[in-house]
Amino acid sequence: MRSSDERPLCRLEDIPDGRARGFLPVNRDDRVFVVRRGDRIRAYVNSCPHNWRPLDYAQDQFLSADGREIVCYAHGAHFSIDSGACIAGVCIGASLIPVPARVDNGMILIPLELPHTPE
Amino acid sequence: MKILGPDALVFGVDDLDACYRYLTDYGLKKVDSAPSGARFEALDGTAAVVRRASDPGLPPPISAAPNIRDQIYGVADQPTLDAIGAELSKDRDVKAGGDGVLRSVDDTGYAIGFQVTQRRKIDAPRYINVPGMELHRPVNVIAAVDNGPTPIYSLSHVVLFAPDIERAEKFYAQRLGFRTADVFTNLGPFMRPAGTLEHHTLFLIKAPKPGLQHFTFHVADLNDMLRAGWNFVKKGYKSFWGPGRHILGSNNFWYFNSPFGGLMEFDCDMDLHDDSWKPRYIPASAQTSQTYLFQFAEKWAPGDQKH
Repeated sequence: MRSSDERPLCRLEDIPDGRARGFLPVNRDDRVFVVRRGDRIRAYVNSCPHNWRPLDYAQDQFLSADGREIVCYAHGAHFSIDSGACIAGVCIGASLIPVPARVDNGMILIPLELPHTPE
Repeated sequence: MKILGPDALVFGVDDLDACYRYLTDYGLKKVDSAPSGARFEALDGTAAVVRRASDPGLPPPISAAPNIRDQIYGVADQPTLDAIGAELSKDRDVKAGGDGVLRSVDDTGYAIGFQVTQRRKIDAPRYINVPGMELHRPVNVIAAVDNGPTPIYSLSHVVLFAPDIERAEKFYAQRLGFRTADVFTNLGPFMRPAGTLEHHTLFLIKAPKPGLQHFTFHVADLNDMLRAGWNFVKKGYKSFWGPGRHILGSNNFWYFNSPFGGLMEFDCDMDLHDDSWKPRYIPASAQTSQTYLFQFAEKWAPGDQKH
């Protein structure tokens, strides 16, 4: 069941398995992205800890071509899908900001209030 | 050493088709392609080359793919090429490839190559009207055209991360004769080789790991840069910074995220300098990085019935 402080993003199957999708656009940038692998999801704030700018270069392009890592297409940092930790590139040691997400009756839910992003 | 600047930058990528679409949408022309990659040229023959990151013909990677894998500098003549070979052979391997490219590596570990330049002469049309300017746009030629791709003139510069910035700068200055045009004291030097007047063809930025920061081609003028960026946004590419105008170098800029491991920029109207120029040393900040900054906005006009 969805609580009053959650918002639905889409149904799990609306994200192709092994792919990512961006949500909650402000102007032309999505604020949040969700990666799906099977029934598991991970959601992050769409902001790279290197410059605090969005990661994607085109709509929903958040992952490496093999789908195994999150890539920031600003300056080439790579991140673990599971932990959000930077594993290669200029912000090594930093992490993406996770968004607590869950699947309820096939619907992906995240909190209404997103985590704070440094500037 | 009359090094002109990069003739070509080579990228090892993991999604060839996406990179082909991106460079085509940017305005470069695909001139040859093979299963392992393709070459995309500007009007003067300078190029971005994309290859599969796993291609064994590429120099070893300096960071996770996608990223830059090779830089091919154009030099004025064979004596310059010979002088570079003699200089670099003093302390590192230099190999002459069958393609006429002399290959070696810089002090950060970036692969660098040199060839007698293959740039073609370009004959740019007269674009602008300035009161008092004699060589203006010809009579009855319309400037505000929105049809077709923006012409991409020439590969301008590459910006690279370097963990040991002093050592990285010293290599290009002392071994290859680059001049430092200006310095962002908290980032690194803007450098130009001796065979060009362009403010910079190389900018080195201090960072914990090596890798591509950005690269760009020159377009003709501010109008073409805004039109190119506008069309790029409309095609769905994500703006990183711009449009604006830098202070060091004066180049107009618009940066976009890209599938090459760093940003790709549209750039125009960079300052030219000779050896009488004295470098400025200033810290980089929002204030010192741009004279002005705009953001993309959807088209709008007052309604038909309003006045």
